[in-house]
Amino acid sequence: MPVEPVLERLAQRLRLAMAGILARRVVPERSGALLVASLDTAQRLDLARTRAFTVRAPSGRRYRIGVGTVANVEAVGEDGEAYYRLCAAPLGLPTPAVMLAQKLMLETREAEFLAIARFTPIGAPAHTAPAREEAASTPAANAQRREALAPANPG
Amino acid sequence: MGAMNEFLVLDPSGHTTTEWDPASREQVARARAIYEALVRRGYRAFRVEKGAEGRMQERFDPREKETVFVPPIHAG
Repeated sequence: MPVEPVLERLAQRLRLAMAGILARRVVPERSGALLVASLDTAQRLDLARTRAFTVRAPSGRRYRIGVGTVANVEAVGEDGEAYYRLCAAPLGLPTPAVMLAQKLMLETREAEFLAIARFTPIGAPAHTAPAREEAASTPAANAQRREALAPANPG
Repeated sequence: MGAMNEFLVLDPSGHTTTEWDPASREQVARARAIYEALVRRGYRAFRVEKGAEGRMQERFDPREKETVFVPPIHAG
């Protein structure tokens, strides 16, 4: 039996475990273990380094989930720049459980998450910044943003 | 008794785990009842594998080792 694939698998497991130990320092609550277990190595390292990790939704869009329960999700471009802050979460859960819920929803039920979330634009360059009333998180403005972010083939 | 399957329901304590034996007809029936009651209350079910993306679960499947239930989400 070749040794190299076995060693590579062991190294992968070790990297995953080490990243998990680092990530657990950021989310020490009981539900942090469940969250960290659901993350891959890169996400665990991201969480440990930046207190956030990135998920890719079925539409191909990327979302950054930060440590928190309110307005802690950002829609990010390929360059990693955030352009909307999204606020949607289950009520009354500890922080890691909220983050896990958001991760699972965005990975599999993105359209449903977007339909519920409140949108706040961030980081828009001055020349493209929407007018004040447009930028406000009104139901009409949110509906427009949902349409812009909605997956081409929801579900 | 074989390997147990698990439901993990996210709640204010983090999560509550319910174990059930997929080889026991009685326990599978009880697990199905729990699953359907949660879905009726708006919970979403996900299959979760360690270190991988979650997978949506549309209906009860007694072969699933681990299912995570997420309460309904609300706009903040």
